[in-house]
Amino acid sequence: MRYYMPGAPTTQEKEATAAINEKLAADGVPIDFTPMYVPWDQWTNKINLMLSAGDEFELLHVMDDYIPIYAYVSRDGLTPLDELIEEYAPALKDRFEDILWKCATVEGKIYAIPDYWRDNSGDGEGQLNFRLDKLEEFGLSVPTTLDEVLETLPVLQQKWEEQDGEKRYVYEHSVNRCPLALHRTYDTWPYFTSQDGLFCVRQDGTAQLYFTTEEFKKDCEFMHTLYTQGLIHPDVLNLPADTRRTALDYGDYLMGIMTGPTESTLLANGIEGARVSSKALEPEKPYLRNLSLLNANAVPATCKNPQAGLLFLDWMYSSQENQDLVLYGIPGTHWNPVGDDQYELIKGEDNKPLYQFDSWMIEYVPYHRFSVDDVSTEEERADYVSNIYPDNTVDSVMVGFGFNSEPVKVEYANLQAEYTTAILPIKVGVVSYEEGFESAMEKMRTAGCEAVIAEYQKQLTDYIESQK
Amino acid sequence: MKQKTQKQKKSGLLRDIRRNKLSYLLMLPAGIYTLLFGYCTLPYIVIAFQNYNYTKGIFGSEFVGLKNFEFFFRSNRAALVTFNTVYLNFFFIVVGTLASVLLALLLNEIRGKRYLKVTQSMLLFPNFLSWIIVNYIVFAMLSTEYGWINQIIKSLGHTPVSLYSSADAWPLILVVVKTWKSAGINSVIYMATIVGIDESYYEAAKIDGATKLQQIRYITMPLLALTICILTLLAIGKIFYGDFQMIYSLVGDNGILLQRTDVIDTFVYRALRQTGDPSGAMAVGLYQAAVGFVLVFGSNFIAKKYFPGGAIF
Repeated sequence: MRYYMPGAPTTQEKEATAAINEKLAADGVPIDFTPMYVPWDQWTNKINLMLSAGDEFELLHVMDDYIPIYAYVSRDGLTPLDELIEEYAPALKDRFEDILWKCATVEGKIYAIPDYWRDNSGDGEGQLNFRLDKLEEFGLSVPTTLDEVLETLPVLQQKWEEQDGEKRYVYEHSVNRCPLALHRTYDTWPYFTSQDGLFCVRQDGTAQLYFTTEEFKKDCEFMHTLYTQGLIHPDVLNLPADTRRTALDYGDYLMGIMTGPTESTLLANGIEGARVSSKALEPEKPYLRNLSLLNANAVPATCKNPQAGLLFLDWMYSSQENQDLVLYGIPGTHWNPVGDDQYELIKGEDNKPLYQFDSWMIEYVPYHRFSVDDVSTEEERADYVSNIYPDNTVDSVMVGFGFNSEPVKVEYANLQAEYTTAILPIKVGVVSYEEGFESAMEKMRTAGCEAVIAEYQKQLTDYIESQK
Repeated sequence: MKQKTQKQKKSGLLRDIRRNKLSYLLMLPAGIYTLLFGYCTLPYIVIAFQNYNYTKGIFGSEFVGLKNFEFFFRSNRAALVTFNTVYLNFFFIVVGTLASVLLALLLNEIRGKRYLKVTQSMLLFPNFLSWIIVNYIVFAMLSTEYGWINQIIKSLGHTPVSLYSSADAWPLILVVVKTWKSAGINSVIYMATIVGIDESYYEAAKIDGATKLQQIRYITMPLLALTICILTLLAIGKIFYGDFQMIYSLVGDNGILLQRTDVIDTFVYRALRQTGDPSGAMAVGLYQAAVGFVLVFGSNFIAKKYFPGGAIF
């Protein structure tokens, strides 16, 4: 059972895989697990080539923010799973909520097994991350409004710089993603915004191009204020990802918009006394559950044993022991359990874990374990696992909807290409909205944005109607 | 008579293989590589005219004519990215060739063996760095806050320049970086040609009182011109291919810089990365190959007419 996923193996991958296969055999599951890693930068091309060339493999990790399930399905790249689940792994059905299955369904057929990863609660949470210890040290409080953010950050930056001569900045999750954390503060919240920032869906079922909305204008004005005040890195559009990651992981940041380290990461990196505040603004407002299927595992159409992947996932999700074995390796060799819900990875001479499987690709949250460095209390940890969706969560009207760009693929492709050059510099705050928007909008119109949103609205309306 | 000639040719090739087994063995990996990736992949060109479907493959997918070319040719960026591709490649070829030839001429004049080896190694080194690493080096040089160019500007009392927001500077930056990275390795070919020039020409020139510069101008350059011509013709064949790795690593998704640096390959990547459409990518690849093919033939025709020794075929 060849499982293709992005990333690179850890040093004791072979030993852990052998142990997994031994356990599979002992449990009477007739498959041989073989993890196949593809470097991140080659992921899209490699998988495309493999599917085009008819390469056989049994399980494929699907990331909706890379290539959406729809794109695979529109070219018959995936196997429909309804009957296979029924026949080979019926227990899988009860493990996930209906809403997750709904998201894994395209044109009435299930095409993926949802990844019940914690962050699937949706980007609607949109948290802002601060170094609490630094705010307190300089006599500041955690901002609770966007105005307070604009008042607090310049002081924090200045005082911190006076202390050690280093300038810190605000970092977004990535320059391409929408700053969803700001959206909760707008009167029109809740509404859905696609990760690529192209589409916005109101709860009444109206779709818009996000960059044509008032909310986008507000985002841009906020980001441009940060930029002109020197709170965003001057070379934000080219800042190497590693530089940004290092700044966050070592606590050298003013604010993380939908990104930022945990306290355990900072403590593990030797930042003594580090404390983190990671909260959504205006928490009393509803949380929007929109893109529930950010990650999933699917069976490629080129596979001759489509049941193999399902059997593996069914086996893995059937017990804590199995999931622990896949994610952390052999107990005592690769990791040690700490209490009932924590783990401690054993590291090699290079201070890297001997074995670890990326949990976000495959984890089943009810068996989630926390790192031993995690500073949260037992109650907080229990709440994390059992209370994935806050009480005031509302479902977006477009949950389960996937846009099929095929009817407007020419315009959609051009829109994607033009977005980077026309909209992105305004979105991250480098170019002001007033200065750049008109010409950007002209480019987007020429690229065919009107045809794309008309098709999007048509498909969305049909989908909403079909759900009634 | 004709049959006899073909038979003779055939037996001649077989005899040649028998006589030069080792040479042919050395050629084998390159031959297999070319066969596999150059010829066995040719049937896949058909997907440029299909709505390619993974399950139906190249024989069963729907034929859509020239529809896959539309996204590129209907784009308002098609002209811009085509211009940028040719414009940047033109300067890469001209500046790169000049730098490589100059390096080869200079290296040829170095007499100290150890010094020559050290110099050559240092010149070759950038070629082995990945573009990702080069990006870190370039960022360390050019970044607004800590880049050493801006540090110098600041120390002189001037305001730092935000090069990552100045699109006009980037064609020059790209040409300089590309030349720095590849001139060393390219000079090896020119140096090999120079080393192969018969020493007696230079000795005769010296006896006639030719200076070093005159020797270069009247002996080295005319004999080097053939190699320059052939390598330039090969480079022209790829003039429609942007250096994706370089431009994507150095410029990335910086929409401000893309105005002057967006090439066909980066445009296609951005347009298709969400949909992952292999047919659209193949259509643009075919367009690039076809234009490159025509350009090589055209350039070769001109070379054949005015400079016969420099033609490839």
